Amino acid sequence: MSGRAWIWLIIFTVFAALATAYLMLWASSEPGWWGFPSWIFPFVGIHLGFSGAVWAFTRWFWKEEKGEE
Amino acid sequence: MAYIILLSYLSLTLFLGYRYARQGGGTAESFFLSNRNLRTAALFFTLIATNFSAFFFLGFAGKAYELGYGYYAMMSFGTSFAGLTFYVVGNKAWHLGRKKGYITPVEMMRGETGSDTLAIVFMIFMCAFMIPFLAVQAIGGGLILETITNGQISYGWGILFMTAFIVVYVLIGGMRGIVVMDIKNGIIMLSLMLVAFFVLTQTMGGLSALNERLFIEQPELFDARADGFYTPMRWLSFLLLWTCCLPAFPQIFMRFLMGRDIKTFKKSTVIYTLIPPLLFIVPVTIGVLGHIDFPDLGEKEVDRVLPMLLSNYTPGVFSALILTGALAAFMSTVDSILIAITSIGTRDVYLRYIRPGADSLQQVRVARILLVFLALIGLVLAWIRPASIFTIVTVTFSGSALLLPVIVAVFYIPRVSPLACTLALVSGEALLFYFTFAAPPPSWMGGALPVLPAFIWTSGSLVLLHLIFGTRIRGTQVDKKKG
Repeated sequence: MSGRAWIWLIIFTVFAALATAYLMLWASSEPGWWGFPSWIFPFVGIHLGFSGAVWAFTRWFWKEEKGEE
Repeated sequence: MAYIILLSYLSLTLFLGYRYARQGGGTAESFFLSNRNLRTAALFFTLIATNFSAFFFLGFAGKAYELGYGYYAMMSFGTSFAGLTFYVVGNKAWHLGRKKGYITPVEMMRGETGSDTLAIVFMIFMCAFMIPFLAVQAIGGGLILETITNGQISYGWGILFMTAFIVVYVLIGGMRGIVVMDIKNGIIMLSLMLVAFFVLTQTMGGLSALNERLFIEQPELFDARADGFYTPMRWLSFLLLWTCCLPAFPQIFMRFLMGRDIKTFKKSTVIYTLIPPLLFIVPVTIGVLGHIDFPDLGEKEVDRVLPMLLSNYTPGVFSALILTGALAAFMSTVDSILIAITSIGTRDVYLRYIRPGADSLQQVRVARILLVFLALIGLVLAWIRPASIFTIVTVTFSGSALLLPVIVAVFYIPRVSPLACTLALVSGEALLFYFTFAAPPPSWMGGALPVLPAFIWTSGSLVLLHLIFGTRIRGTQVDKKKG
């Protein structure tokens, strides 16, 4: 893995961790859709975004590694 | 009727194991790694089925009953994040496995560092932590069978029967049979969990109404801060635990080597990250809703909250059908642990130290003997059923997480010092045991789980020792060459 890949990996890991911890520990627990606590929906959204980030990570940043091979 | 469902499921399992085993050939690579030719769907399902054990089906609901909706966030977050560590470890492991023919993680550690000592220490920790986990799975299998048959098959006979059954189909099918079983079991467990969710929420009065009623009666189930369980340090500890322990499990690690090509592996990893946030809410909601009918379940009863709700609201046949999903989850984890440890025993002990020239057929034969022996150990532990088994599981997961810094160092630090890896791993595991069992003052860990300081210690000391020993070793080699 290149240095740039490691930096991106750390950036979006820390971002997702902080955003999710905020939602879970401090956001409103009032019932939202289907009565679930309202922090759950942005939580799922962040995770779907996280999956997109992993996809982008695997798609683009390992091109460098391919180049090295 | 419950017996007909159970027998149909088990017959299908044996049939598939037998049918697909014929296609694999008798080589070690086929028996242990399914010929390294899995496509995306197969690799994805085998990752999911191996990772999601009976705990996903029964334990999630039980824990959510105790801790509320916050448990969803904690489990989903760490498990989804493991997709990243899967990628960081698996990408490299796949390339090395393809290039150098490695079959087990221990072979890879030895091959990449040239150190027998590191390989042996790594193997001891990797396998030792999996055996209690194996026993816990057997315990889960016994309980599921007892519940499906309404106690007609007792716990003792249940663990004996399920262990014997799994041994038979793994002996027949090897890893190729297991992968086919994983696809079947993955589909069964995921779909039956969704069916249970929709049927239960509808028959109990509708999801919105149930949640709103619970929010009025027990708002603490909705608020992750309410009972003080979820603190930032504990949150960070669990995140680290799930993210780091999963790729270090031998049964998961070996799946990294099975993809047909690297794109297959990448796609499976990305799809994997989607599953926990979308699916974990299902068993967690069932557990939380358990408070409506069973407000005061004790610690030992909480894992039965799903079967109890099913028996209250659905016919017995439906309950049996859903619990077959739990059985599928249990079997797909146990078979993978068995073959992973067996392959390490065969390749890294028998082939390495006892009979270096053994051919593929001899290896497979030894693997089959080891598999029976290992299953017996799991059976005995499940029969003894030590009271502190769940503490042991927490320690085993934490202990496995400490293998990750070593794996990453071996893969990504050029010419990493094996001595640094060995010392860091041993001292980290010792620290973990101290923090877990000697129970030092809580202020020492700042409210974190023992895995957090032990992980920091292992990673930090590895880098530091590598800087000390690595430089010295390189210097010696250079000096020798000069001489």
